[in-house]
Parts: sequence; C-alpha cells; structure tokens
Amino acid sequence: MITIIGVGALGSHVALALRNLKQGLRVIDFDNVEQKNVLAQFHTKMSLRRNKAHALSQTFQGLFGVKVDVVPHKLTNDNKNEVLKGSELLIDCTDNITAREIIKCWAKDNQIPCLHGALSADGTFARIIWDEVFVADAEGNEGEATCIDGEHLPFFMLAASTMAIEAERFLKSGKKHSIQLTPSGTIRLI
Amino acid sequence: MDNALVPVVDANMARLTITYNGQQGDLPDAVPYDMTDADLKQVATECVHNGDIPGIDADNDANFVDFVVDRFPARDDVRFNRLSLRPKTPFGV
Repeated sequence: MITIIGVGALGSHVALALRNLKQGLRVIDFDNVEQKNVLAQFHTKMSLRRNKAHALSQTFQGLFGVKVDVVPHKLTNDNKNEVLKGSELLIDCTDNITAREIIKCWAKDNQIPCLHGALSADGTFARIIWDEVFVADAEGNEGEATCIDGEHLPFFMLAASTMAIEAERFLKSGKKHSIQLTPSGTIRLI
Repeated sequence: MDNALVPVVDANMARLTITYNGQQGDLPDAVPYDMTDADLKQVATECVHNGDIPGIDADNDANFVDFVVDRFPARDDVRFNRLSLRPKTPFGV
C-alpha cells in the first residue's frame, strides 16, 4: 500500500499520477473540499463540502474504476500507528511541520521509506526529498497562502508528476533521488 | 539543466546550488563544504548581482536573507558534497 498524506494541490495530483500502481493507494486528509480548491486541486464541484479523502476516492472510482483506501482524519500521534500501518511507502504532501514530524518519526521508527514534497509560497519552487535528508521548514505566515485562484496549477502538476516519477523509480529500483524543481528545470541534489 | 558543471574532487569542497526567483543553477566554482550560512548567502548575493550563475538571470535586487541552506554530504553514488541555498518551502497541500 502506498500512503499519501494530504490530498490538496500537490497530493491530489500525485494520487492521480500513481493511480495505476499495483500496490494500491491510501489517502489521508481531514479537510473538506472548498470552492477555491477546485481551481488548483484534483477535486471537482461535485465534491464541494465533502471530505477530500472521501471525495478523491469517489472520483477515482467513478472516473477510473480505481479503489482507494480512505482515512478522513487528521494524522496525530494518537492514531499514527492505526492509519499508517501496512504502508510500504509514505508520500508526505502535508502543509504543516507538526504532521511532517509525525510522519518522519513514524517512518524512521518503522523503517518505512518516505518521500516528502514541499512548495514555496510563491509557487515557483518545490523540493522532493527522501526522509534521510529531509528537514521540514516552518509553516508560512498568515496570508502567505499559495496557489490563490489556481495561478500555480501547472507548476504544482509538474511537481506532483516529478514526485510520482520518483516514487515509481524507488518502487522499481530501490534508488532514492532527492530533487529540487523550478519551472525552468530540475536538479538532483543527491 | 546541466548538473555536472563543477568538478569537485576535494572532500572538503562542495557544489553550491542556488535557487532564486523560479530559477536555479550551480555556482561555477566549488566552495568549502563547511562555509557558514551567512557567508554562503553573501557569495550567492554577489554572484546573482553579477550574473555569474548559469541559469539565473542577473538581478541587482537579489537578497537571500530569508533563504535556507541544506547540506548533503557525498555518498557512494553521488561522490561530491552538495550545498543548496533555497527559498523556504512550508507548503504541501
């Protein structure tokens, strides 16, 4: 099972790109779909006000006939063992340092590989970094929200596709490449 | 993007990758791996002002005060140290 934590602008498109994996997908998100999300995330107007994980599962079933495991809850230290168990790869697309640290610690304690995705506030830079060398940055300031009116959608989809390719590479070869990405190109860091 | 411009053979040296304004590139010369964050930011500022980074347009207003330095030591399959000066990335969703 491949577990994606956070299915917003980045995670929803990572799930879209990985929907054919034979290992199957589990998606975790406690948030609901809002009107503004439809502009930048793989969620539709039909899913408004529904939980994002449930909404994505229903969309995948309807459009692709793909079944997805759903965890419509916030990841916490109390539920981490229950909701992350059975994962062979974690994909972190969260937006807060608390969740990232829970994921990072659980992955380390259970020796499960974890790929982290993180975006800059201006939507022009993404990091796709494996757990061994990942350091989470502090959350952005209020009003520093990214992807207002969907303006960075093409770059988010590029970052999500790159993240999905890296996940597939790892599943096939066991090799881990950590990558930085801008609209003008990518650099493999290590 | 050319990812092999800087031949780094000294274990104490590193490639410096700079990300600025949606562009990124490597400094043409290797830098000491243990250079302080402040010194790296100063080098980057001067280089971007001068247009010395392939892949990054010259910008006299370039400023790296709020940027972050990542340090990646060499390993078996990547035999050079890497430094990355980059914007903060607090977002995922």
